[in-house]
Amino acid sequence: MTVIECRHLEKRYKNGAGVKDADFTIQENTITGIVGRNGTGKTTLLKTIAGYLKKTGGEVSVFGENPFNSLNVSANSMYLDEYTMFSNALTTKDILDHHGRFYPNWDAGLAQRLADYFSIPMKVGTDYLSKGQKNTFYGILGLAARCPLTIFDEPTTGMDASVRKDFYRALLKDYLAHPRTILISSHHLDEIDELIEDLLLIDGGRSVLHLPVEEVKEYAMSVSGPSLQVKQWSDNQEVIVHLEDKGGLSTVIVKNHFTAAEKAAARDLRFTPVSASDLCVYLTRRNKGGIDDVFSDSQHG
Amino acid sequence: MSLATVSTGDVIRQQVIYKCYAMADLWRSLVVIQLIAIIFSALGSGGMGTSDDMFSLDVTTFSTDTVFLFTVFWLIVTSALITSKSYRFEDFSYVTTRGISQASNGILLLLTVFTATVFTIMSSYVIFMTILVFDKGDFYPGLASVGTPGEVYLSFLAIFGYLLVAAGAGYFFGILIQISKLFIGIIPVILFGPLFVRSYLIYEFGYQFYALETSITLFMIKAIGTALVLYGAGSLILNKKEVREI
Repeated sequence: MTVIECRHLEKRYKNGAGVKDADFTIQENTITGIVGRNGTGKTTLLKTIAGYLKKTGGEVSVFGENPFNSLNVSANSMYLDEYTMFSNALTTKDILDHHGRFYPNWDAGLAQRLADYFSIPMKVGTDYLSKGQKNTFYGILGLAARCPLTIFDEPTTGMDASVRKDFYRALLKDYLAHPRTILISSHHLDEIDELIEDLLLIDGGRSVLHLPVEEVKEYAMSVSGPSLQVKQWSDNQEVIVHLEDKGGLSTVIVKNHFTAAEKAAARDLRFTPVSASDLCVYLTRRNKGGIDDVFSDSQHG
Repeated sequence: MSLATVSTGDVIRQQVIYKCYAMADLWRSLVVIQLIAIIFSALGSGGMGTSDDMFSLDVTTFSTDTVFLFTVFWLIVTSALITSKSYRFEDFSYVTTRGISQASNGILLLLTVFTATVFTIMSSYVIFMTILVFDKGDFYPGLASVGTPGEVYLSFLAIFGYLLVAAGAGYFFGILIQISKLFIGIIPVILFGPLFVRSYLIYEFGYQFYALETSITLFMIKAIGTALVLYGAGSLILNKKEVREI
């Protein structure tokens, strides 16, 4: 079953930023990682899917409905980020109890056990939790509610390394026991690439890549060697990005669909696989050069 | 995982229950505000005195007017407050739609107006007892203070009507402010501006329309009608509003 379908979805803000063209389909019972650079529209996209924001163009459907003002979508989905709001008049224990009234699949035992394990204080309002504790608490809500669609927007902000690891492990365990559709956005693809099945790369408000994570890992190759040979060989290839030239050696990232014969022809060149997170960095590069060029300008100029 | 089917009515019920808990601080503030007003009222809200060589006469009037006015003010602020971002966004941390949020807010306001009315009516007894305990003078109860059930009923309806209008106005103004912060400046100008031009406009109209109405039935129709129009207009605006936008 298709859970989310976006067709040229557009959600622009007054200043022009936001989602410009999101086009993808997410199937039931998958964990999809949403990655992209800062300010490329990940959060806007997720909030539009959750029905918080109203699309300005294209189509979005969640469980076959437009999520904006849909009770069906609201009852079966959950969006959690660090700005999720709860009245400070309620203690964390109260909030867990109220979730039990709203979500039919709520597992109160699991919520309590997780809260105990992560040492979340149960007698205070959410304002008194630290940033990491707050996000852990929201993570617990997302796990225990067992919504058919759960959206975590940067769930691990502020969590320490061990909590982060435990949280992802808990997520995976609960997902295996109760399969559902989960979206996780993160800046740290390295942390979630073991967890996610599919990867959706957003850049400049557009969905750039949507592939199973295994395919992403084989999507590109890094080819390095003497500049001249690299250039000659890569002329016939689909080059994603040209990395720096240093001392007559250069490196290019090419799409991994060259033939064995082509590879054999490049005897002096070195082929290394490109990790998923590196690929995302290369695919979303905005300009030639890197951070070093910012400084070299000011030093010479 | 199979999808849950929920009914609108049930979600509204859950939201109302949730809001009653989340608004605990607001309920408490009503009690505090009314206690302060009761203290003021127990000091007497009006007085006159006369004396001669042989005698002196002091008349002090006590009424729940102060409690009522404080409550009106509290209600306007409270109903504007529940349209603020944090209250609106919180609904969306649970299951809701904009329509359900409006409906549960409406029910919550009704409950609030009802409670505030009961509290205001009851405050006259508190004032009465305070005077009995502390004041040694003769006491002449008025019609509406510790009256017959019929009179209590009548003042209940009147207070309920006025508070309903206050809640509707507060809710509507709150929503206007949510659309544009400019309304923070515009609303006082609309309310108090006419005073400088021609005091007749809004106040004279309001006085004639509500206060001079002699039939309680007509008054209630007017009050409920006004509140419904304000609430409905506000709900229509909020129904298109996005939440958690940046």
